[in-house]
Amino acid sequence: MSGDAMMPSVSLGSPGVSARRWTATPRGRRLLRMGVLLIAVTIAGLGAPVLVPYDPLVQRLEQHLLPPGTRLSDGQIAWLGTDQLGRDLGGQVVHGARISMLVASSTVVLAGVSGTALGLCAGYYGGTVDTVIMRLADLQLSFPALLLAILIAAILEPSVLNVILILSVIRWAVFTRLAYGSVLSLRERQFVEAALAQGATHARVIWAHILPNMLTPIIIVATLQVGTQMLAEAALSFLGLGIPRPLPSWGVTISEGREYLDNAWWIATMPGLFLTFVVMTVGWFGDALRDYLDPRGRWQERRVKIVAIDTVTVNIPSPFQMTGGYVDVTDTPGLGIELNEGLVREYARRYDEEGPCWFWAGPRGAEWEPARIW
Amino acid sequence: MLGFLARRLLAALVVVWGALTVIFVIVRVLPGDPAAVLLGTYATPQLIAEQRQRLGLNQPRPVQYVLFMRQAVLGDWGRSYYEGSGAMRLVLGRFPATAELALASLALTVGASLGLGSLAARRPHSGLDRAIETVSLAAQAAPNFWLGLVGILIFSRDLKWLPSFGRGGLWHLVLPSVTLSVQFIGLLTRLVRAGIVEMAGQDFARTARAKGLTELRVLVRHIYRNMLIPVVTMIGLQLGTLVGGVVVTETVFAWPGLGRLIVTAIENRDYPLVQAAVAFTAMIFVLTNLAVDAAYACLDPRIRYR
Repeated sequence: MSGDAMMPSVSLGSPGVSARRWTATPRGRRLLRMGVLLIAVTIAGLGAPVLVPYDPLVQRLEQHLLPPGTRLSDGQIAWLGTDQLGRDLGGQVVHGARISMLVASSTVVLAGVSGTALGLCAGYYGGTVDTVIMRLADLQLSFPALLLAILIAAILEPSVLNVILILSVIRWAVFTRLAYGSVLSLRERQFVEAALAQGATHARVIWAHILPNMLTPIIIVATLQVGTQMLAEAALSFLGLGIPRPLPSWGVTISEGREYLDNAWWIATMPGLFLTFVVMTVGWFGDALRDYLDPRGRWQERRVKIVAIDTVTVNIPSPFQMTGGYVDVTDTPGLGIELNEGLVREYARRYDEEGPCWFWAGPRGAEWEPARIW
Repeated sequence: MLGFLARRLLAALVVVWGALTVIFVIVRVLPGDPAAVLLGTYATPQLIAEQRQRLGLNQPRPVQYVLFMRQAVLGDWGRSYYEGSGAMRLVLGRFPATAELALASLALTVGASLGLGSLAARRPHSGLDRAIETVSLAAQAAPNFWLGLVGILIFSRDLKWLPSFGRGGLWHLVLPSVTLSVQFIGLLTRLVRAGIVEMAGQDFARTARAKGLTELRVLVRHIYRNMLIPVVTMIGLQLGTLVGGVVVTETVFAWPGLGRLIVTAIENRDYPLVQAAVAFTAMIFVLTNLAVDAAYACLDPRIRYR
């Protein structure tokens, strides 16, 4: 059988797939949903001054410790109640979201950019640069992150800028390790060699050939790190080492609420509820992004029934050996209807020697999703 | 194996040395005068000078560093500025409380995540699976200090079932250890579930079923055994987070452990105590990581260190 006839007729490069909009796949749609949710949460946080058109730090001592939903004397409703100084808790929570997001995203950008740059240099140039940077990264990673943050924070003056610096310092090594691993394998690739042979400078090779090829895992990790950093900021602030009072911060508010657990449960609980929700949103988005961008992840989280298989190049005896057309695997004798994930991957391993092949997979009747078997 | 252990031990020593240097730099070079802090509001320039003399703070920094390292090697960590007794003795006195908390959380984490993960993996993508998935995500997203406070609110203040602070019998351990382990349970449950789903379709599982073993036996004897490696790896990777969690949890529950000691020592600028406590933590941390690596070889006979 000639090779051409046996090539899978559908691949990502073919019009059949690339013409599909990215939202046409379930994973794309999930990414879209999570993206919209995340953007909504971000807008709510960034738009705090519009959403809460009054100063959340105004003290009204005569109206302190009012439960959620109370109408204040000026006609405003304190949806989340008031704290021990009569400040509106809802306003503080929304403004706290702003600070939390600002700190988390800027630390991830700072740590991500510097860490990636260091890992790139270490991996690309090797030698002494490699040894020094990677030993430092090892040292950093072998020291408990929050402990280091607490140590530094205890000695620096508390301020938003210092919190950002501290939380960046404890995370750079994560990105350095990741970038280092990618560069080590990328720099041996032929396209790098080709670029160098054509006279490209090292800077150009790094910028145009290596960096674009290693961004995917870094972006995924960076997204997931935003949630981690929000939690770290809250923990630092809770210990009194993060965002200084009276700036509205979730950690600070929760810490202040500790003393009023008996008569005002809402002070300590409300900010934590919102923090959990925002971190979950970031996590959902990160997971959706990983599933969408990382092709190896595509089979791991979904149980699919293979409904039909497109042309596959296989030369080993198996029910899948076929040269063209669609075959409904669910009707193939001996395989049954329960063709699940595990089975698919098992066959995938045998196909591996023949290179990648493509399956259309999805529930019967639903829109089919192209899936690559490695 | 012995050679490997020796090399790793050497590397661990380097890490501890690095950690000590970092501590020294952070504590001594950054601003803040312990002599002034110690004297509080009564500080006069003369008293501060005398105090600095007594604490050895007026020596040049490199000399302080050499002295510090020499004493570290000799096991002399100085005296706590506040309590007057030996810094390392204070640290060691607090260690059992922290070890108790950490071990209880570890046991809870492994038990709960194996149970929940197996339950979720029984019927992938069923309602139960989705519910467990969502709860695990929430568990990872919830800040542990907040969970601790919510726990106190519900189980101590409202229901009056559990004590809310301090160390004592088994009941005192419940809230802190649950608080500390929730995020790890969330993480490990997802790992266990993914692992079981993957392995349930593999040859060895099918063979085990084919020879007539019950589903439970297949799970426990064959699948769990293969799950141990990723689980141990994840525990190793999460040790750093555990240390951070210990500090926060001990603060919430006034648990008399190392974390609480470090936070109060930092508040008091009690340098020798901070150094001793952090160095000890770093040492324990490095040794535990070493133990995790060594555990691989025992768990998976295919792994041989050279």
